[in-house]
Amino acid sequence: MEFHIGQHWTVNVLGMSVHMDTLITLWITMAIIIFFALLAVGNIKLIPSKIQAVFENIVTIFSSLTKDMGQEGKKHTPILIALFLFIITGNLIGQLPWKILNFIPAIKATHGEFASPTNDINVTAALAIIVLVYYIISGVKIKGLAYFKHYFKPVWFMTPFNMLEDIVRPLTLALRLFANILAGEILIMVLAGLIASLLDPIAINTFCQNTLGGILPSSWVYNLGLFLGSLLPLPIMFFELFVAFIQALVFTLLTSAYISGAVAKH
Amino acid sequence: MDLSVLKFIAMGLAIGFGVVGPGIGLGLATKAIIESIARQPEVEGQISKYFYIGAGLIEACAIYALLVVILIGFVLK
Repeated sequence: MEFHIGQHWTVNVLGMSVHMDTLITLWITMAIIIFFALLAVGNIKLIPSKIQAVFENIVTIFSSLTKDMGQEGKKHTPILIALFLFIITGNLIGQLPWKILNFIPAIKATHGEFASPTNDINVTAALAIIVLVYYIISGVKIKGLAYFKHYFKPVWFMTPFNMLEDIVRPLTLALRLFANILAGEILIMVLAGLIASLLDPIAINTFCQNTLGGILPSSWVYNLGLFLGSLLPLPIMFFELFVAFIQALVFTLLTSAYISGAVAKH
Repeated sequence: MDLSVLKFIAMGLAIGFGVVGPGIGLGLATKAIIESIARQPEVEGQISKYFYIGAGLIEACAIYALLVVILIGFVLK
């Protein structure tokens, strides 16, 4: 069975290698979010329309996460909403049937794999670094240079461990999201190819001739097996919809925890 | 022994030992939430969201093991 992991449609732009497949799904994700956001804020009314009510609920939920960030905590709401909406849309977009693009020979020749933008570690690492920079800057804004005192707490020789924390946090944020989405896609790929690789036309022919006595043509039985086998990844796909939501929520909640840790007064 | 055989052994061992800890953790988390719901059935809606987030965090540990398996098997030469 053909089995590729982590292959991308790589294009050289000004000496940098760019993953075109990730970039295209990234742009589609951004377009979806911008479209719905414009739709929501285009015609604001006191009595909200349906889509405005949805977005108002989202804003309310995430501004309630910023309650423990002090008096100016509400200004951290936009980054939380942006991260959540981007990650959940990016995760869910991977469940669209992108594999049918492989019927186009020009796209198949690029060995690209159109999937969630979040199954490329470059995207999740970029998001995690944004979070790192954001919580350090918001900590410095609140406390000034006194923010960096927390590296020397509780005692001076804990400094290397406190600095290690700033490396481990974005690393786990990036790896958790990336690996969850990638693992889901590998699981779906393996399950979708499992029956097709196990079915043996010769064995089915013998089975139809000897056991069934030639009532059914063996090609029917083979194709029926392929069809039933193609239904195998369906439960995993539903589970992936759930995982997409949970991972977006986990990323956002951890971000809010890091920000409130950085701006908290000790 | 052939290097590719060792690679398969390493992949199996990595995922096999890697899912033990998250398995125990998920079991403990499920035990805790079932006990607390059995004690106070009215809090189910409030605490189950924390369970899902915690389960996502625990599951990520098993996924790290899977990531190592992918690295061993398909990325590192």
